[in-house]
Formats: sequence, C-alpha cells, structure tokens
Amino acid sequence: MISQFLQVSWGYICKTGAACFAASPAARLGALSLVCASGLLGLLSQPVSAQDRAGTLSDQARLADRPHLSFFGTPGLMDMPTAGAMADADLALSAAYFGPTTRTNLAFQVSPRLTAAFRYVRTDRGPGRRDDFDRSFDLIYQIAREGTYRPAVAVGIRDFGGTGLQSAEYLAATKSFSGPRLGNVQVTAGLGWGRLASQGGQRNPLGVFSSAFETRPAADFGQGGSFEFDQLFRGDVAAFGGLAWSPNDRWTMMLEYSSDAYSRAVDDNVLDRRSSVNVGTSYKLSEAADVGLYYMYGSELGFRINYVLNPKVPPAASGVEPGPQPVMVRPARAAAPGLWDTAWVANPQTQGVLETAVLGVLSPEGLALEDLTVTATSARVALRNQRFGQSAQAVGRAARALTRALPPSVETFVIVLVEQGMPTTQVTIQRSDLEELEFAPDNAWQSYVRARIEDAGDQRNARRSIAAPKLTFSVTGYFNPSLFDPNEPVLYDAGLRFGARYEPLPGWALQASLRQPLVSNRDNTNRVSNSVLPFVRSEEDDYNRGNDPKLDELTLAHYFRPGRNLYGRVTAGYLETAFAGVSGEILWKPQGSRLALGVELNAVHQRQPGALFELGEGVYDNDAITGHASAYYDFENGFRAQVDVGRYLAEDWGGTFTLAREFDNGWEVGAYATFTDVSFDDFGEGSFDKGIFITIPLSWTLGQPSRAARTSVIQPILRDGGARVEVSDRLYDLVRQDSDPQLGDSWGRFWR
Amino acid sequence: MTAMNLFGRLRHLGAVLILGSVLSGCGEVYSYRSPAPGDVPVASGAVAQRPSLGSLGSLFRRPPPPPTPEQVLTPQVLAGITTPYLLVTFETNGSFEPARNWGGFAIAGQNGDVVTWVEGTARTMSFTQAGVLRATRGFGRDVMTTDTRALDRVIAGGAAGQSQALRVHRLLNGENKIQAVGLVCRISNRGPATVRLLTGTFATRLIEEACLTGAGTEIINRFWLDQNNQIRQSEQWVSPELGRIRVQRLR
Repeated sequence: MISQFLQVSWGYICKTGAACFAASPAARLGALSLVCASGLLGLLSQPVSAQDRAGTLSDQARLADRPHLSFFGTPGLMDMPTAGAMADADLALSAAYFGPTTRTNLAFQVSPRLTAAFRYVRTDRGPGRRDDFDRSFDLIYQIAREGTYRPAVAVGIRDFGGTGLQSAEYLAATKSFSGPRLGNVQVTAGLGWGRLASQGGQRNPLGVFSSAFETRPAADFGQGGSFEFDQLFRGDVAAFGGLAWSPNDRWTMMLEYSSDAYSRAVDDNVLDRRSSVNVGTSYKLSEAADVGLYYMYGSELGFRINYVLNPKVPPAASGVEPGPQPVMVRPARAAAPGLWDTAWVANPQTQGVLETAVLGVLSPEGLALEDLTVTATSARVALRNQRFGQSAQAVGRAARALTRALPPSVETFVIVLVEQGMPTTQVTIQRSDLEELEFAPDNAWQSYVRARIEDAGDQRNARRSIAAPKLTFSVTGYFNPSLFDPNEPVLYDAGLRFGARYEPLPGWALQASLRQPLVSNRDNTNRVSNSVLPFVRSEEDDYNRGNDPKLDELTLAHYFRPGRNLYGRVTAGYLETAFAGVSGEILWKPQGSRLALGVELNAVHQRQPGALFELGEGVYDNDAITGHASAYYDFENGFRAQVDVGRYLAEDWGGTFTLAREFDNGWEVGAYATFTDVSFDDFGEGSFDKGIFITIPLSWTLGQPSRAARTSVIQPILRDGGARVEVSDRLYDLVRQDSDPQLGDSWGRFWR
Repeated sequence: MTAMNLFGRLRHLGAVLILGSVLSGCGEVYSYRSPAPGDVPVASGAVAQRPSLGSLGSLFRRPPPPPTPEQVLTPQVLAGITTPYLLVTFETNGSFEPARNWGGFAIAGQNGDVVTWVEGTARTMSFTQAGVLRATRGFGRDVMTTDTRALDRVIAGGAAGQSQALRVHRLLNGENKIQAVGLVCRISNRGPATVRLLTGTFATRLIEEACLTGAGTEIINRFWLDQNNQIRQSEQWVSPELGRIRVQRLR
C-alpha cells in the first residue's frame, strides 16, 4: 500500500522586511513563548464568556449553534456525517482516535454552505506491519438550509483526489426538534456510496439513469493525488443515520448506525466490528473546544477533541493597543492671529525645527519619517509604517500626530506610505476634517470619503530617509518542524535566527538571515529522492540537517518605481536556502484596481547543502532560468485569485492557480495547485504540486499592532515539478496593503 | 494497546498541538510601543478586558486580587491630585462593588465639547464635557463613536420626554468594519439623589436612560448630575463585550 506522508513546511513571512527586521530584543522572546504556550492552554481552557452580556450583539459564535464534528472533522455524529454546517469561516482543528485509527482533521467553512476538510489518518495495520499513513481532502456542500419543516440537506465527497482509501460520497438530511424539556434533538438520515456503502450496500438507484452507476471502478492509485471522477456516486449504496440529543448547550449524546464496514481493519485483525451501532457523548468546554468519548462498533473506546476558531473573531476584539494621540485643535485664526502667522516659511531654520517636531510625534507611533516637505499651507510627509498591520491605521495615527507638530496654517496633510523605499500611496487629508470628525458618529465613512487616495508613483524614491533606521539587527528563536514523516511524526530543527539589514540608500537593502539549529531530530529520517527530474526540491531535507549554521538569505535588493502604477524589484545573492542567483520583478497595480499584473524573471543556481556559500555540485549542480507572468485579482466577496504562468525550477513549463479567502484583518486561508508539462508519473508521489496555506497576522492573536504574519503551508512531500524559487518581499504582498481597495477595506482602523 | 503504541499516538497528537500553536499565530517576536512620557497620575486595578488568551501563571495559582480604589486612592494620594481626575470601574458579574477592574484617568486633550482622558500613557476614554461617553481605545471591543443626541438635550436641561430616544454605538468588528449597534431608549428623571465619592458627598439629580438592544436585552444607563449640570457619577454601557462602566468625577 502506498504510504503517503506529508511534510508541513513552516515559513515565517513578514509583510514587509522592515517590520520583520525592526530590532526585537531577544529578551522578549522567552516571555513571548510563555505567552504563546499559555495562550494555547488558555484557549483550550477558556471559560465560556458570560454569554453576550447584551444578548446576541457579539459576533462570537454561540455555543449552542456550533455543530458537533465527526471523527472526520466535519459536521457529523461519529463516523457518519450530518447535513449541518459550521459558522461561516470557522476553522476547526480536531483529532479523533479509536481502535486502529487516529485522524487529524482541519476543516474550513469556505463559505456559508461550502465546507472543505483536510485530513491525515494513521492506521494500525497489525503486528509486524508498518502503520499506514493517508491524507485525504473532503468537499461538502449544503444544498438546503433547515427550514421549519424542511431538513437541511448536504452532499459530501470524502477523499476527493486522494489515494481512494477513504473514498466515499454521501447525501445526508438532518432535521432538528427542540422543546423546553426536550432540549434539542437532531435526526439524520443519509445515503452513502463507496466506503460509506461497504456495510449493508444495495444496488445503486442511480442505475435507472445509467447502468454505469451500478459498478464502482476499482481505485487506480497511480501516484495518488489525481481526481477520480469516474468513481463518484458509483457502485452500491447504503443507508446510514443517527440521532443527537443535546439536553443543554454543553452536552450532546449521540447514536448512529454506521454503513462503514472498516473492511481493511477487520481483515488486518485490528478491529473487532461487532456492531454497526456507535454511541457517544461530547461536552463543549468552551465556545471553541469540545471533547468527546465514544463507544465504537461494539468493541472500542473512542476519543475526540476539537478546537474551532474563526478569523472573523479576534481574541482581543478590536485590539488592546494604546490609544492614539488626540487631535490637537487649532485656535481660531481670529482668536490667535499670531499663531497663524506664516513668517516661519522664510526662516532657514524652519525645516530642521519641523523635522524634529514631526519626528517627535511620529516615532512613538512606530512610524519612521522618511521625508518632509512643508509649505505655509501644506505638508508632505513620507513615512515607513513599522507597526500597524492595517495601513489605514498608520495613516490615521500619522494624521492625528501631525496636528500636534505642524503650525496652524498648514491645512493640507499629504501622507505618503513608503515600502522598501518605494513611495506607494499618498493620502491627502484636510486638517480641518480631522478636527471636525474626530468624534463624529460616522467618522470612519466620512473621513474615507473626504480623503484623496492616489498613487504616489510620479515621485522618485524618497530623497533621503530622515528617521528610518539604516542598520538593524534581530535575533529570534525559530522552530522549523516538518510533520507526518512516517519515520518520525515530528521532524524539526529549532534554534536561533540572526537577521541583519542595512539600507545604504532609500530603496536599497542588504539583507542577511542566518539560522543556527540548536536542537534537531532531522537525522531520524534518511529518505533519498527517487525523482527522475533534477533534485531541485525533493532533497530539501538535506538543507535542514545538521547543526552547522544555515545561511537562509544574503541578498542585495533594489526597489523602485519605474512609473505610474508600476513597481520594480531586483534581488541578487543567496535568495533562499537552496538557490542563489538574480531575481527581477515588475508589478502593475493601479490605485483602486482589483486587478494587478506582474512579470518575474530569475536566473539561479542551486546551492550545496551543508555549506554556507558554495554552489551545488553533483546532483545539486542545477541551474535554471525561470520566470512567470502573474495575474492577481481581489474579488469583492473577500476571495483572491492568482494565476502564474511560466517556467519552473526543473525547467518545466506550466501554471500555478491560487485561490484564497482573505479577511480584512490579514487572515488568509487558501489553496494552490501547479500543473506543468511534467507528467504525473514523472512528478512522482502526489502527481502534481499542491498545498493549503494559512496566514495568521500576529496582531490578530495578540491584539497588539504588528505587521508580522505567519504563513503555514500544508503540502505533500516536496517534489521537483512545479517548484518556484523563494524570494523575500515579492511586490504584490508589499504593495497591495497600502493601496485601494485593501486600504479602504480596513478604513475602520483609521480612527484607532 | 502497547505502551509504545500509545506513545506513538501521543506524538501524533503532539503534531496536532504544534499545528494548533501555528494556528494561534505564536512564535514571532513583536515590537511594542514604548510608552510616551506622560505627566499623568497613574493608578489602576486589574485590566478591564484582556485578550481572552489566558496567562500560564493563572493556571497554577490564583493571582492576588487587585487593589480596590479605596486602597490606592487614599486621602493623602487624593490630596496630591489637583487636576481633573476620573475613576472608571468596569462592571463585573452585574456589580461595580467590589471594584476590581478600574483605572484612574487624566485629561489628555480636548476637541470642541469632547475631552479625551488617558489612563497612564495608553488607554483612553473620551467623554463630552458634561460626561457622556463618546469613545474608548485600548480596551478590546472599544466603542468607536456614540451618538446620543436625545440624551445630550436632556442633560443640557431639556425635559426628559416620554418619547423614544435613539442611541447608536459604533464598534469595530473583527474584520475592521464599522458595526453600528442601535439602542432604543427611554429617558426619565428620577429626582434628587446623593452621590458618595472618595472625594466627598454630592447632591445630585438622577437621570435614567433605559435602553433595549435589537436582541431585546435591557441596558440601564444612569447619570447623576450636580448643580452645574455636570455628571458627577454615571453608569454607562460601552459594548456587548465590555459591558458597563461606572465613571466617577473625583476632581
């Protein structure tokens, strides 16, 4: 049997290098990890908050509304699904164990009706045989919501595009009844195909349409990962069903009739399936966490735990960051004509005095002054946002701070956001609007309408950098795990990461990142690549093994504005752990446009694992010219799509498709797939490169402002087809947060 | 199940926990604003609302209860405070006593009729000069703005009508969008009442504003006005998560 395993690669990305490299005292690290560890425990043990002190005003998912999740991590009983759905955007992490199987599930409510789930299953195959590892992917669509008389109806496909071991389809209907003494009772009935028809299967009624429905073609594993459309809803069909009774908001008792025969586990003698009836109970510890205890198939105890979080519900609500400096209101001109005098314009010392004053009010806000031009009536302030995840908050803080530093006659503030030395967006705000709107009931909307937001691109790069730090260092702890290796469930290296960044001129950055592993168990596996392509990624483990320092990055980068709506980047040096070379990129992103286009060209040579500077030899002696044309589209409904077409590291040609749900607080949950001219067989395990990624902004977790975000990618073991070089600070992520529509989408933070 | 087998499964669950830690977004060092120098007298009890992440220490021991205002704001301390000073207490379990979540606020700025008060150098609350809450910052589910036109008229000396008064609180939801919470209220004059504060006893008249949320929950705001139509003490609702605060004008 194919034993597939996964590698989870954990990447830290920062939305801007500047934010990442902002000097961060190592002393905080220990405290932070404590906070994190306790945060996790706290999340699990968090008591139910006094439920919505004012009724249901809060958007926190209500305890009673959260559906019970099955052993498969999606709404259900134990092994059988129900037709329920989680709250929109719920992200559920769960682990379920009984008898021979342990399932780890990650389910996401992609939209109010669509649920997607990723699963990793470990199955005991009996004495003398290695455990089996399998991953699977489910899609569930709720066709009908529950009505007064109508049940909810859902159709689901389990193990969509996997190895087929779990493969099943179902149609389920669920109706709930509640009464004051009854509590809540949910009745579910369903029809299953595939594995869900392995017990009590009957002839497929869909056979009336075509006899093809009556037989299910044998699964063709191949390299796994390919979609087996010819199996869907084919073969025998079986009925399943069950009851769930919740006497109160916290307890649920369940009973189900399972149509899953667990044939292989029974054959392997690891499961004694004495009954088709499973029973269980689950308890909601909090609004997020459940635990459940079950008795499965008349012979085994089962245990399940889940934790549900929702990107729309930050733990700290709108944040606990210190409040802004209040607007300082100017006295009326008639009341203090002396203050409104503009003779200072002619004074040669004015510039220096104002720079000091503006620096003094911006620095406490984490805003670095890059450039300042003041006339009698207007001020143009270019700044680098080093603190706020939402650019609108940086603009709002800067505007209020400027009221405390600039002479009363200066009425117009032009605030220019600068990323890596590139002026991106300029926001023009009238000072009298700030004074008028600070406490106006509808000030968020009014201030957005009155601000003029435009491309700052006709200016050259900032001429100088008044306050921006020229040289910054950072020391951080890092933990770099790879999960699900069959030899070692958690492979990791952990230690210290040293970073340095030097900016000789605006728009130029010399950047280095060195990782020193202190503890590592990566020697516990010695997988050797069987790839028929150049080993551009499949020997990735070689780059993480050993306790010698790893130079992850040493580059010189230049960022520039070639013209209006255009952004440019050239990066040269050791671009990433496995490749060195030159990378160039141009991005077209007009202000307010949902569409952006880009081109990238890279010339790289592979690096030698275990060496700081040497280029690769032997199997690592690979060089490549790669490049992509990219289209990005930010849909109004919160989804973001990206298509990259071009040439990959193994000199294969193809395209990468990315679709992500993006939240205005910086969260992203998405998936990507790459198809190239490498055949599925040549690609090897998994057939093509694909993965799921989750980006979590640190500010969401802590309630404190930060531009740092963490992206976790869950992907099958890395292969050599469809691989791209990793470069820091690609332009789209750097630029879009500053420009409309994203800037306006978070304008609610302007007055934070 | 053998012990080894169990250990293997536990390690598997370890993987789940690690994934969880990633999902919770931990592991990155962050930079935090160093407080700007301030000349404001600082005093406070426990925080009003922290992110719901717990603290490790609290799992093992119960922290000592934070001091009450009476313990901190002794007559000697109060004698030293000569500038305007607010004592703000958050309601816990339906009561303001004993005061555990409280803070002292001093003036940080003024814009027209609205005065912004700051606790230490960080969290702020803004009130009209009469004392009606306009905004909070730094407490979690802050109120961004309030719209209380009908109440403002009554406090300025208008008659407390029997008609319905609208109150709107604008909050920021988890996706940085403004979420307007409308309350329908009835404002009534409750006559004379005596208010006892740490700085003295005041003769006031009590105005009560009883509001219903869209969900049907009742919220009562109370305002004790002195002879100058200044709110000496008030109980005001902030947001669903923060609940009500009691505001006492000590200086």
